[in-house]
Amino acid sequence: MKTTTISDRDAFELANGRVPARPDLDPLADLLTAYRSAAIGSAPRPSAALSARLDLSATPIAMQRDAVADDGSASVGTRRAASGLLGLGVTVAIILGAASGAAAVVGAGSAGLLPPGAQDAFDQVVSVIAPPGVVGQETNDQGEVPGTSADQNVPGGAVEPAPVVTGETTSPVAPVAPPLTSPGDGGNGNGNSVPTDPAVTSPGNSGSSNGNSGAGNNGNGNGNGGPVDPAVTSPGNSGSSHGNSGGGNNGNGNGNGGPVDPAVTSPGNSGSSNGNSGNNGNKP
Amino acid sequence: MGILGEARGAGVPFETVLAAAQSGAAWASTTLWREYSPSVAGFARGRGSRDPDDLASDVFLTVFDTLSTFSGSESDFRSYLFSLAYRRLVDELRQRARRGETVQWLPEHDARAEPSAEDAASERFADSSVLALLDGLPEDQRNVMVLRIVSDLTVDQIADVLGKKPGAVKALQRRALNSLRKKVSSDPYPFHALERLPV
Repeated sequence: MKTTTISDRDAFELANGRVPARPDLDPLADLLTAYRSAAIGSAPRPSAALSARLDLSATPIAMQRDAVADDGSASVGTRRAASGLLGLGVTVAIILGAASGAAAVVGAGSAGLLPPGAQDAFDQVVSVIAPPGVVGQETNDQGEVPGTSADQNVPGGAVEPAPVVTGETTSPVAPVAPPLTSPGDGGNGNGNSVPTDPAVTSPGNSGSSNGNSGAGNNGNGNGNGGPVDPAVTSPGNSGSSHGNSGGGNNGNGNGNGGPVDPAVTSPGNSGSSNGNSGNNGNKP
Repeated sequence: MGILGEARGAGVPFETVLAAAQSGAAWASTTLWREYSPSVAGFARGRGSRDPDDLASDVFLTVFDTLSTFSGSESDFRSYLFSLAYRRLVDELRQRARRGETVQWLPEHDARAEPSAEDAASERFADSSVLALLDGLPEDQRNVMVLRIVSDLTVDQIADVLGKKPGAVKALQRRALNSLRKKVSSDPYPFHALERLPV
């Protein structure tokens, strides 16, 4: 076997888990790979003293790290870039899946092909989003809690559980988002509509909200339609919400229609929601 | 998590995590632990620590206690972290050398007993056999190799950790690799089994 010495270049490639273009070094490369796997193994368990200072129940947070430059440094950088692309692939797949689902719903809604309740909700949401002045008795001032600036500036962190607000909420006061316990929490928004005046024959009530998060965690939005007044013969109530996340993680939205009053002859109430994720993309 | 240094996609910048950890935020300390502890424990394991998890915990307790005085980039932090790990490991090795080592007797570790064929086969591929590959190297070379391969430090970072010049680290790395290659070339079963089955 030819046994030329190992150059700095070969050493660099071997140390970074790559096989140099020298067949005689293949066994050594395999050996180092096995050694690396054996040494790293599973994640260590923290001692009791250390556990007291950690929050191990929190959702793991991805952290950006410097690329390592070294002599002939392509290998580590290449590995990291490849790994980043793989991670991006998953994110893109999620975004594409969510987008295609949303597109299908929007297409069906535009064509009027949704079931009666859902179609009403769709029309309501479209009227709320597109021309702001069209919907009567909109109470976004009270109900809308967009992600606050503090929320949007957070670096991302433990994910706050989304507040559960059902459609039966009749309070005109919007629930307050739970206090954030760390600077990395997602933003939560809740919106509720107040009951309309009985004399109003507007298309109904709606609540809308937007929850946005800054650096890559969850944004949750909940919107709840207010209760229908018996005198109102509008098509019903709807709640809509949008949850957006900034840095590419989950966005969740929940919309709940208000309770149906027996006297109402409208098709009923419905809720709709949109969850969006992407890089700093907030749904208008 | 994979090898230390695997890239993350979008994530929180290191500087943000560091600042939060310095202010005592548990989530930030947890992030640092999750990010770096496998490689610290791997370094300890590769260098023969008896309790790598305990060593990693000790190192991170020291890190969190002294983090308020640290300033620098992520690369600096890694050098700082592994400097602490290296010192802690040297302490443990010295302590063992001074006091001797007490090991609990276990039948499977009794050298007088012949292992069964099944045990021998499983031992052949056990992690300990793989980790023993570097045992024959001089200590300096082992340090360099473990920090390079397991901890994924650069030559400059290793030089910082070990207090050597980068050129010396490169030379140690090259010599270690040449030694390992000879071992691999001369040993048809490099992962342990020098013995062959009796014919």
